Amino acid sequence: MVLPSFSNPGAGPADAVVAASPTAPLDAFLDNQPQTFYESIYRSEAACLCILRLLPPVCRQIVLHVLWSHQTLKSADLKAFCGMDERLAPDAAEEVIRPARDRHIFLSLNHKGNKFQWPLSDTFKRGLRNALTGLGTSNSFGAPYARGPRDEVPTAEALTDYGEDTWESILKYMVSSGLTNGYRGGRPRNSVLLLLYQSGLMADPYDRSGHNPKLEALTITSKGFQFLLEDRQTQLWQILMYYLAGKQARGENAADILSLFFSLGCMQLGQDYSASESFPHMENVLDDLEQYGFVYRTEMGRERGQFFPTHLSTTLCSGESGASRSQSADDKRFLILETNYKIYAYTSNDLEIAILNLFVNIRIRYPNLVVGRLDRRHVKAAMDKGIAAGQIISYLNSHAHPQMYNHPPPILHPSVTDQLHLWDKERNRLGAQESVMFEFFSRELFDETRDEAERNAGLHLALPAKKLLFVDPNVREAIKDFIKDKQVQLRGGI
Amino acid sequence: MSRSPSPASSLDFVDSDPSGSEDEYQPVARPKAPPKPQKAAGGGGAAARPSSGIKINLTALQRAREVQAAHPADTGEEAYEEYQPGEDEEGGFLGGEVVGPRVVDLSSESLKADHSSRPLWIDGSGNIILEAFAPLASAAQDFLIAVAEPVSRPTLIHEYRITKPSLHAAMSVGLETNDIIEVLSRLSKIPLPRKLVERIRDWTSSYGKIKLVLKHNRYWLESSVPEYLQLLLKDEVIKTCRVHREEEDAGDVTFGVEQVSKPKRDYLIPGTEEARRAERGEVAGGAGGERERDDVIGAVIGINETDELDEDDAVQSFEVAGEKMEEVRRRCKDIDLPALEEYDFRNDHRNADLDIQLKPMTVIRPYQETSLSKMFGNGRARSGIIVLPCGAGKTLVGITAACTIRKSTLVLCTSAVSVAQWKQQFLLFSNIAERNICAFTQGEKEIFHGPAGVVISTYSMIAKTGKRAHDAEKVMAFLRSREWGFLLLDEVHVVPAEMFRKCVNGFKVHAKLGLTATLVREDDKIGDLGYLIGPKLYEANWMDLAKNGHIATVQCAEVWCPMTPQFYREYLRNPSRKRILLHAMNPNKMQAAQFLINYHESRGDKVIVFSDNVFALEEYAIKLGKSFIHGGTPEGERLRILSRFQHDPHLNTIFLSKVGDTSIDLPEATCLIQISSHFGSRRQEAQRLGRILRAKRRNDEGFNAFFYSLVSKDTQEMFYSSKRQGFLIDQGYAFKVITELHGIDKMEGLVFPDAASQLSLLEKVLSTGSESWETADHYMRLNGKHQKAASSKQPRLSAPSGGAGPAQRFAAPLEHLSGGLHMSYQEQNKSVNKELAREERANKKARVGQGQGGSHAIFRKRATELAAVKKRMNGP
Amino acid sequence: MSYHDPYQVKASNGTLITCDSAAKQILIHLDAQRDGPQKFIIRDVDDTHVLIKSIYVDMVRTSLQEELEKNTYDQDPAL
Repeated sequence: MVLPSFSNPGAGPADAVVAASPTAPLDAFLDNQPQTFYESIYRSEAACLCILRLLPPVCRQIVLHVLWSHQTLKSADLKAFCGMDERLAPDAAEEVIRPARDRHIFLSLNHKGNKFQWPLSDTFKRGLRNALTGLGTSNSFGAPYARGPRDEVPTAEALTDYGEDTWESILKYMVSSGLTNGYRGGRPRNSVLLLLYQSGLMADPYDRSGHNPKLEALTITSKGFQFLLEDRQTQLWQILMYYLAGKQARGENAADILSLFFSLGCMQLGQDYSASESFPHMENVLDDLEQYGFVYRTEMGRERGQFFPTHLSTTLCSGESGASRSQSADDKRFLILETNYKIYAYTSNDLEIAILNLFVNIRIRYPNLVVGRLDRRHVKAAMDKGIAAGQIISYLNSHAHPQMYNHPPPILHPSVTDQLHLWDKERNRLGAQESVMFEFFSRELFDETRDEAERNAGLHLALPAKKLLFVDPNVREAIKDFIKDKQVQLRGGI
Repeated sequence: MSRSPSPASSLDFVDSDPSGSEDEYQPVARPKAPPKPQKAAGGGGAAARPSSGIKINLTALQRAREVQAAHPADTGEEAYEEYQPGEDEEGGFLGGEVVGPRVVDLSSESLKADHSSRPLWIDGSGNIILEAFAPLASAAQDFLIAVAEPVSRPTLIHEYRITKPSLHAAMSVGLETNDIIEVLSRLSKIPLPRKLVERIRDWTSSYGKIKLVLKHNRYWLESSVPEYLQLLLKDEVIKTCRVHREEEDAGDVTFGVEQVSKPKRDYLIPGTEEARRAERGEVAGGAGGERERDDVIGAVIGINETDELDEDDAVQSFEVAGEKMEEVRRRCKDIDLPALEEYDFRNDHRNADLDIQLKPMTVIRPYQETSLSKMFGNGRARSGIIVLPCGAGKTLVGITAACTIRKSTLVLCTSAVSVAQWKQQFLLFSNIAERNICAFTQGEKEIFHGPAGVVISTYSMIAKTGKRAHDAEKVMAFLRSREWGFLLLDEVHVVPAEMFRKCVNGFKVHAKLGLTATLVREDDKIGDLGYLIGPKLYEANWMDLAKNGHIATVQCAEVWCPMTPQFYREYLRNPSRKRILLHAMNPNKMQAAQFLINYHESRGDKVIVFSDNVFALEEYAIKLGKSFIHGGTPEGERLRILSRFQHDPHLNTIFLSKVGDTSIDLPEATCLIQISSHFGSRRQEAQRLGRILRAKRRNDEGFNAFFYSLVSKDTQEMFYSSKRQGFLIDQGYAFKVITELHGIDKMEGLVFPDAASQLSLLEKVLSTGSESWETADHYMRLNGKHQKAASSKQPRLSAPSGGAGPAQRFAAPLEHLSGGLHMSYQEQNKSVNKELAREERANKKARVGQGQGGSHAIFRKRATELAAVKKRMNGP
Repeated sequence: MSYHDPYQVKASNGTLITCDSAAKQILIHLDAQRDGPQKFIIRDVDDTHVLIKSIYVDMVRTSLQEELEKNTYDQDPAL
C-alpha cells in the first residue's frame, strides 16, 4: 500500500492474539508457581524434559551447555556465549535466560567474590541428566504394559481417530449448544460438562442462582466461543489447566498431576502402558483424561490397568501445534478469503464447518469445499456472541490456504481485516455509567467538591465551564455531606 | 443517468431482482425441438483424456469463445439467484441443523478421483466456482466466458453462472448443447448435476437457431434447423411479415426456404498480427495467433481441428419484409425463438465501400482482438455489445470494427466533447480522409459528399424531438435517407431505452455495436439494450488487464469523514432530500478533500474531483480555488479547462460533475476523489474508476492510481458507498477504509477551521433552494427530452426542478462562470467567490432578520454577532 | 428556596452516556421525537456526553443501533 501516512483503523492490541504460543495456558499456570512447586515437579524426568523443550532455543542451548559442566553459569561466560558486551550488568544479561529463571531451572543470581553466577537447580539437573541418560527410576516416561500374546493392540491411526473423534465431539457439542434446535447427539460425560461449566466455557442460562446448573441444559458462553477459535494445542492445554485448577481446588497436589501430563507428553503413540506402574495412585486422573480422548483403554485394559496415550497426549510437549488428525500443516491451511469477502474453505470436517458457520454466511457445501461470505450480519452475530475481530482474524490467518501465501504479506487483505475491526468498533458506541449529576452556581464550591470526589475516587466527569460534576452513586452520600458542610461554611462566610 | 432515483427507490433495488423471472427455472411449454443430428461430440467418459478421440466442434468452440456470455436482453443488472435447494438434498449434520436450511448441501456428491486436476465445482442451478490456480484454469476461463456469466473474478477463486441468456449467446455461435455439457463435465470436480444437464438441454433446445440477416438489402430469417423455420412460417404474426417474390422458384426446397451454405470466417480483422502477416504475404497467415490459442484449449479439453469440415450445415431461410422488422424481432422473442441479427457486409454490393483502413502503425491488443473476433466470428458482422473497462481502448475496438466492415458508419456518443475525441481518434488510427468524416453537433453540422463516410453525433442530437434549426433538419434528413453499414454506439448503458429506440430504429442500419465499461445498471433498462442492439459479445477481466499493464493499477480507499455535530444535527432533522447536501457539504469532508488534493498534487499527481451535486461542486471548487466543469459550463470553456488540465503544470486539479463520468478522456489524471455520488450506482462507480485507468504513467515501475471516495460517517452515504463498490469488489478491487488522515491536523490553511466558519457554511447550505439538493446536473436540463423522461419516473426527487429549464440556482452564477473563461481563472474565481459571499451574507442577514425557517438559536446569535462586527467596522 | 442562593446545588440521578458526537446527536434526535415522561434525556451535557434516565439505557442502545443500521449495506445478500 502506498499510503504511507494514512492510518489503519484496526490493528488494535487484539491482534496480539495471533502471536500467542499454544502453551500459553500452561505458561500462565507455571508463572504463578512457587519454587517448592518446581522442586516437586522436577523429580519427574519427563517434566524436566518437557519444560526444557518449551524454552526458547537460546535458553535451551545454555541449559544444555551447563548441564554436564561442573561449573555454575557465570555472567562473564553467558555474555561471551551470547556475544554480549562484557561491560553489561549481570541483571541485564540475565534477560537471555529469563525463561529458565522463571521456571526455576537457574536459581537467582549470586556472587562469589566479584564473579556473578546463576546456579542450576539440583533437582532439575538430576532430573534432566537422568532423562537424557535413561538412568531415572521414577517411571516418569511410563512403564510399558506387560502385554499378553492375545491382547489386541490398536494401530496408531485408530488411536488418532479415537482421540480426534472424542475431542471433536466435545467441541461439536459446545458449538451446537448455542443453536436453538441444534445437534444434540453424543453428549459428553457429566464430568466433562461439569469442567466446561466450571471453567466458564458453558453456562446454564436458566440457572439464576449460578450454583445449580442443569448439565444437560448448558449452552456455550462467549468465553466458549473464543475457546473454539483457538488453536488445537492451545485448547488442549487450556482444558488441562482448567482440570488442574479444579483438582487443586479440591486439595489435590497440582505438581503430581502436571507431572502426569508431562509424562503423557513424552510417551509413544501406539505403545501401551501400565497405569499402576506409571502413575501410582493416580488412575482416577487417567479415567478423567479418557473422557477427552487423551488416552484410550479397552474394556479389558481398564480392568488390568493398561492404557494407550493418543496423539492428543503425545504431541502435548512437541512444541508444534500439529495435534490434529493429520499432522501436516497443509491440512490446517484450508481457507481462501477473497477481497470480495467470499470464503472458500477446503474442508469436509463438520467441526471446522460449524466453527466457520459462527461468522460466515455459508451458502453451499461441496464434498471438499464450503463456500460462504464473511458478511456483516454474520460477523456481527458472532461478535454479539463475544467473539472479537482479532480472534476471527487470527483464526483466518492461521488457517489460510497455501495459495494465500503467494502474494506479498499480509496474508489477509488489509481491507478485509480493517473491515472486521470496524464492525467490532461500531458495536458499542455508547459508554454508560450510573451517575449523579451535581449542578453548581458557585465555582468555589464546584472546585472543592470536585477535589473531594477525586479524593474519594468517585469522579466520573467534571465540566468546569458548566460547573457540572458527575460522580459515582457510591460516593453520593459522602459528597452530599461534604457539600452540606461546605455550604454552611461558605454561607457563614458571607 | 437520466434518473435520479430517490433514496427509497434506490434502496428497493437491493432487494428487487430485475431478472428474477429469468433465473426462475421454468420448463418451456413450447413443443420440444426435434433432436439435431449430432456430429460433433463423440461419446467419452468424464475423465480428462487430452488425446482421446473425443471431438468437440472446433469452430463452435472457437465461436463460443468469441461470443461473450450473455444476452443482455435478459440479464438485468444483477441476477441474484437464490440457491434452490434440491429435492434430493440431505438434511445432515450441516445441511439441516448446524449451518441452517438455506445452505445447498452437495457434500454427498462423489468427488472424481482426479478432482485436484479439474478446476470447477458446479451446482444444479448453474453456479460455477473456478479455482483460478488450478492447472486447467485458464482454459476453463476461456470456455466459461463463452457459456456463462462472470459473477466475480478476484484473485484465487472466480465465480460464474450459467444462465439462459449466457447459453443463448453460446448457442448463437454454433456451440452445441452436448459440447457444453461435455466440457463442463470434464472440467468439473464432481459429476455434473442432473438438474443442470436437463436445464442446459432445455434452454438450448431453441436458442440461437434463428438468425435475422440483412443480405442484398433484404431481410431473411435463417436457420439450419428446418423445423424452426416451419414453426415460424406457421406463426400467425410472422406469416404476415413474410415476403413472397415472384422471381424465386415457387417450389423451393421446403416451405420456400433458400438454401445456402453457412459462411466461414475467411477474412482478417485489421490491426492483428495475423492481418499483418497476411499483408506481408506470409503463408502462415491463415493460421495465426488465433489458431495457436485454439490448440492450447483444444488440447486441454480434447478438441481436434478436424471438425471444421462438418460445418457445411445447410442453412435455410425465407425473406421477411424490411418495414416489419421490429414486429418480427418482437414476435420471435415472444415465442422463445429470438432472432440474431447479422450483416453479411462482404456480400453487400449495393452500399458503397468506405475507403478506410487502420494505419499500419496501429496495433490492437490481444483482448481487443478477441472481442472483435467475437463480433466477426462467422464472417458476418454480428450485432451486440462489447464490455471493456474504461481506458482499455474501446474507441480503437469501434474504429477497427468500422475498418473491418468498411461501409458508411454512424457513431453516436454522449457529448460534444466525446464527438471531438472520436473524430480525432478516427483520424489518428485510420487513414480515413478528413472530408469523409464529419461531426453533427450543436456547433458543427457537416455532411460528407462522397458515396460513403463517417458521421459522429450525440444521442441527444439524433433523438431530439420538436423543432430543429434548418441546417440541423437538413443533416437529419440526410442521415435518415441513407443506408448505414455500421452503427457504433458509445457508452450504451447511459442512454435511456426510449432515446435508444429512436436512434436505432430511425436509421437503416445493418450492424450495431454497443460499447460500454459496465452493463451494471440500477434499473432494468439493460434488457432493452440487449433487445435493441444484441447480446453481450465480450466482457474483459479487469484484473487481467491491470496485470498486463493495459489499464492502471488502482488503490481504492473509502475515507470516513465524521459529520460535525452541527451538520449532523441538521442532517437528522431534515428530510432525506436535503440530507444529500448536508453530507456532501460536511466541513470535515471538505477538509479531507483539501488535504488529499494537496497531498496528491505535491506527489505530482493530476487530480479529478467528482461531485454529482452541482451546488457542492461549485462550493468546493471555489473554496479550494480549483477549476470546475458541469453541465452548465459552456462548451468552449470546458475544452479550455480540459486542455489546461492536460498541459498546464499549474493546473493539477479539476472538479467534474456527472458530465465527466463518461467519455472525457484524461490520460493525465492519476488520482480521483469522489465527494458526492449518485446513490448506490455500481455502474457510476466503475465508470468513474475508469477515468484513471488509462493513466499515461500506468506502465511506470510501481505506479498506482488512486481512487478515493469521501464518505460522511453515519449518513446514508455509508450505505450507498458500500453498495456502489459491489461491482468493483467482484472485479477484484479492494477498498481500504481510512478513518483518519494523518497530518490533516497539522495542515496549514485548512478550510473551515473553526466552529464559526463551519456554522456560516451550514447556514448557507440550509438557505439554498431545493434545486440544489438533488444530484442531477444541467447536463440533463440541456437535453430537455432526456430529463423529462426521467423526471416522470422519479417525480418525487426530480419534480422540484425537473421541468424548470436551466434555472439559476442562486444569485450570480453567470458572472462566476464567465470568470472561468479567462486565463487568470483562479484569481478571478476567488474574487468572484468573495463577491458571492458578500451577496450571500446580505441575503442571509435579511432572512435571519425576518426570523425565517425556524433557524437555530446559534444562528440567531451568530447573526447578531456578525451585525455587531459590521457595525464596528463601518463605524468611525 | 425562592431567593437566589449562590451556593445552591442541584443533584440528579441518571446514567451518564459517553459517546462520539454523532451518536450523541442521534440520541438528541430520538429524544426530540418523544413526549413527556417518554423523554429520556435529563441533561444535554456536551458534544460527547448526555445524562439520561437509567431505565432507558437499554432502549437507547437498541434504538441507536437501529438508527445506525440504516446506514449499512450488506453486499449482495444472496451470495
